[in-house]
Amino acid sequence: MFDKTQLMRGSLEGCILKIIDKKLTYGYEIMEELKTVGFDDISEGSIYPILLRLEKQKNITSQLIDSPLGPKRKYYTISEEGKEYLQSFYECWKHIYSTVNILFYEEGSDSQ
Amino acid sequence: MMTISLREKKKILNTEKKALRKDYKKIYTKMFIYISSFSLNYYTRTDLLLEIVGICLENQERNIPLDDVFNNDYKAFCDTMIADSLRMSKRQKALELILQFMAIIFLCSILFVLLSFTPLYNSLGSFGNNNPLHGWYYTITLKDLSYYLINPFIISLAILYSNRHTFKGEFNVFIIYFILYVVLFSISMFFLANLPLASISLPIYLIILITGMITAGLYCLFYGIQKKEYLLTQ
Repeated sequence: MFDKTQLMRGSLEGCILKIIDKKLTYGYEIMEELKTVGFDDISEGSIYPILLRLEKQKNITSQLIDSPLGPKRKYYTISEEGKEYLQSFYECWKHIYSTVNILFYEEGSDSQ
Repeated sequence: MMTISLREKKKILNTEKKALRKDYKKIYTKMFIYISSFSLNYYTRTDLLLEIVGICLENQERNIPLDDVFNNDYKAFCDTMIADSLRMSKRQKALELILQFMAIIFLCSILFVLLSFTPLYNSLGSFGNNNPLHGWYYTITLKDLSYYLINPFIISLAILYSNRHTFKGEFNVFIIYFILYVVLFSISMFFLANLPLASISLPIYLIILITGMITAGLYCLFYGIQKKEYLLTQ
């Protein structure tokens, strides 16, 4: 059985960036959205290091905002560099997607 | 990164730490100890701890056990979080050691003067016979001074050694720290007790003044370097 974890991890950074691009959001909300779209095995433990890395790379910025539950919560927004990074990620993803499709589907028929 | 000052970050960190429940605080403390065993830049470390305490609080509010969040391996999570983080150079570590050493001497000197106001002073006879209350002049032999200096120095060394990342379990750290302390202290005491050293006189207020000034200078230098390096990465 193919282990999808590695494949999903590779695309996680771009997906997180896409969620942040849509709205001002925070760690737990990002995880919930990822689960909704199909990243079932994702835990917060895998998301926060990526958020930290994206922040270090200046692809996202953060601000502490009072949360309705009590303490301040860290909200993320995408930066201009992040938007460029997201665009290049998506171009790259489309290229990989079409390359894999060429291999698997030739002249519209399934070659498996 | 966030554009708030270090003082403000520390304030938030303390408030959020206090808000943690016992079981959540226990894991946070373990993570704090683990992260502290790496020679991270002080400002970077504060950012990381703020991040971690935030995660702990967020999950506490949702009643999600931290073991589920970190997949029963908080160390692996910390490793990922600190990967590529700004670390102290060997020079900065050496500077930190000297700073700790001077700060301990400074505090010990103050403590010694404060003790002289109490009946406890009589039990400190081996350090000199002149009560600082009378003229604030404290006679100390070079041998006593060596005892006085070497003890905090060894403690500092032991603290530094126990902070090494090599030690994985907290209990091991404690045992190694304790053995190291006893062995080094016994060896140094044995040699110092057998050395014929001359007697000198030093006013205690001078020791306090000098060590205080050096500690303050080193403090500014150490945190200044840390801040400069941190800001360069921003």
